[in-house]
Amino acid sequence: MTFLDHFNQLQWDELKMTIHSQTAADVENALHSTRLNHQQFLALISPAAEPYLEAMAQKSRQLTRQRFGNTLQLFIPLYLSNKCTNICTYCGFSLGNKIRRKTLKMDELDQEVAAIKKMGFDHILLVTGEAPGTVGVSYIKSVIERLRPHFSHISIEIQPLDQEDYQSLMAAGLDAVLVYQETYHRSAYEQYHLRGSKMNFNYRLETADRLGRAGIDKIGVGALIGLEDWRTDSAMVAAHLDYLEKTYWRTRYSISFPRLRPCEGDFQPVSVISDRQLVQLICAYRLFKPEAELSLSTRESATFRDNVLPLGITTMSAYSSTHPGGYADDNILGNEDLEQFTIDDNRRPEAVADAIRAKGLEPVWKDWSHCFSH
Amino acid sequence: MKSISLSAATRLRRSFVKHHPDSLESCQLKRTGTKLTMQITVNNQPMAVEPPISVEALLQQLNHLEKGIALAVNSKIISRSRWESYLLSDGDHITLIKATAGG
Amino acid sequence: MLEIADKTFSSRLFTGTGKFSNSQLMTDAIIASGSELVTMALKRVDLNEQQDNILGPLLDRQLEHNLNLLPNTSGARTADEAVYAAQLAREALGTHFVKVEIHPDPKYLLPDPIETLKACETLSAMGFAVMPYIHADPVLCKRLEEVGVAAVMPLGSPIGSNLGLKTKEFIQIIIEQSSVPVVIDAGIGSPSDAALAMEMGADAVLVNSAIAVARDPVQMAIAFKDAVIAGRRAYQAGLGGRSLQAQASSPLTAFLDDL
Repeated sequence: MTFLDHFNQLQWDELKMTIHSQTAADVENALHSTRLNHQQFLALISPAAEPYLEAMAQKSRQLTRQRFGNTLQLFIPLYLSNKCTNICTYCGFSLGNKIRRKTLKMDELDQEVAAIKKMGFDHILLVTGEAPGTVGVSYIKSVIERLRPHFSHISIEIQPLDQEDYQSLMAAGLDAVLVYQETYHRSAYEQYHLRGSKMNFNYRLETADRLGRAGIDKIGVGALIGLEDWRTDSAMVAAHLDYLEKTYWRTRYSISFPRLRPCEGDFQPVSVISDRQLVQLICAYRLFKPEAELSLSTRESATFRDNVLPLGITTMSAYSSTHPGGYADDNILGNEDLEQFTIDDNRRPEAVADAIRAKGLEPVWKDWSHCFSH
Repeated sequence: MKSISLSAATRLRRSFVKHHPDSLESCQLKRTGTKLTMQITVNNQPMAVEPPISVEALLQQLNHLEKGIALAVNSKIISRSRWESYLLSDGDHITLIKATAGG
Repeated sequence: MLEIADKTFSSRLFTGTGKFSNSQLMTDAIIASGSELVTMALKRVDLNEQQDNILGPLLDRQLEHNLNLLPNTSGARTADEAVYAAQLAREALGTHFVKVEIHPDPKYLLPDPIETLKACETLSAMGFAVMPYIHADPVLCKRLEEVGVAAVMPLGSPIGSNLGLKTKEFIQIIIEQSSVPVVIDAGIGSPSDAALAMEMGADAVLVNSAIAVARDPVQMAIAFKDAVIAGRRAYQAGLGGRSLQAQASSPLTAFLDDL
């Protein structure tokens, strides 16, 4: 039994209709409840909830402060490789795209780590494309082992792996895995993923189950907003999270809301989410799952991030480079022909930290310690 | 009073043991007059019974052959389907339980 | 309809058989309650008592009123004793349903979580439909789920105390997190307690003392029946919820107008 069995019971069109038929009364009911159910989440992401945005934001802020205090966790993504054997029509690393491919060698990795440590980061997210020949499990494992002494929290965002592989990486020091379904609309998914292992919708969908069974500390879920109707995809993310929390109850969860950005290939999103709607979505997630980590990336502009932070975000990246080798060499930063997507918030970490403090929050660099586990 | 000769008693015992292997353990037969008896307990109450005796026969004797009860011999549950064939041995501790009122 | 293991119940009020002044009254009350799951204890047969048939009147009407039997292991102090008791009960009553009830503390009758977890693991593996009686401990409930119980039965307050839902906040967490039916058992003192439990989303409640020691047990049983139906209906209709007094702060979303 995995989420796939539950997922096959969900009807995309029915969900979409339900969302669009939510009324102001439904929204108010959700706003006044603690412990929301999935149905109430649908009310909060519906068009009917748009006039209630300020109320949602106030409640979201309160719940976040109550649970997380006045802190914001900072992390940095490190792209180890942009080599990829998949064709994903929306991604800068897609196999067909003529970009310079690079995979970090160990000495280059060391340089990146040195640069990153100078900036103060202690939580790191390792990112790769899918190229098992070049960046397979053993490569990732070596990287984790090499990074372990320098970072208190290591997470990865790579291709889905088998349970045993995850267990092996966990033994090396892996703390968290982010795996986004991109879109939960099966036939749309087929149209975006034209080649490579990523074409396997089911295997990707069951990744969180494999992670839960492996006993990992934290799992990140989400959809790439824009690939299909953003409300319905978000409803699917919420259903996925609900199932995971009940089944793998010892695990922590993180939600992300990457919005499609321009990248190599000129891909246009099918469903556009406005800034206002993104705020609505963030608040809806917070009201639905007060304990979930909500993560905001540098895809968003500095202004947007600064204002949204106090509303419900608990973790964010700063000064990201989405291509391999982006930190050690400042000249490479902004080298567009290696990027996965364009960054919109280019501020250095100190500037981001200042902005966070200006909002009455404390930037946290380290929030994790391997005292008695492995 | 006529007493059974030793050899006759031995023959009786051997034949009993041969035909009732269940009661092979702790075969301590007592002689009471002309009859053999076994000492058992039922719900901690000591009792003397005449071998060979099946569980069903015991319950009949106690007037408790009824529905809704369960029986264990030496803490081993004997299911109803075996009551007729299961023979008791000397020294057996029988527990007889039934459902009763209680939240 | 409520499903627990392989059985379906149209009533979400479960009842117990203890503390009634006589067995006819017990039978009348249980039938008036509409309950379809009745719990009972085990005891040694009293060899001297031939007329001991307390449950007789109830069992006679079992089929007529769709009464399912839920023997409990009350009296057991360890997992081994509970497993033994469950097997005896299955043998005696012909049901694979069992309420694991292990309370070594005779004063408050509070359940032993460690022995209970052990017993449930063994009994689930033996094919029983296990319904453990436990404190309202959300983590314990998840552990019990993992060993395969058919439902969990967290207490509202100590057995017989009629103190109501003292463990309300924890019951709420259990209901939120549970993938098996949640039956609130013990301490439900009044129909309003039962209604509240159902409004919170409990799947069923088990009531014994409050009915048995009422001045008019039959009427009280009917009151509980109505309360459980009302509470469940309210839950399904979607309660309005109490408004949250949010701390007033400066507008948080005005910045969107400037973007």
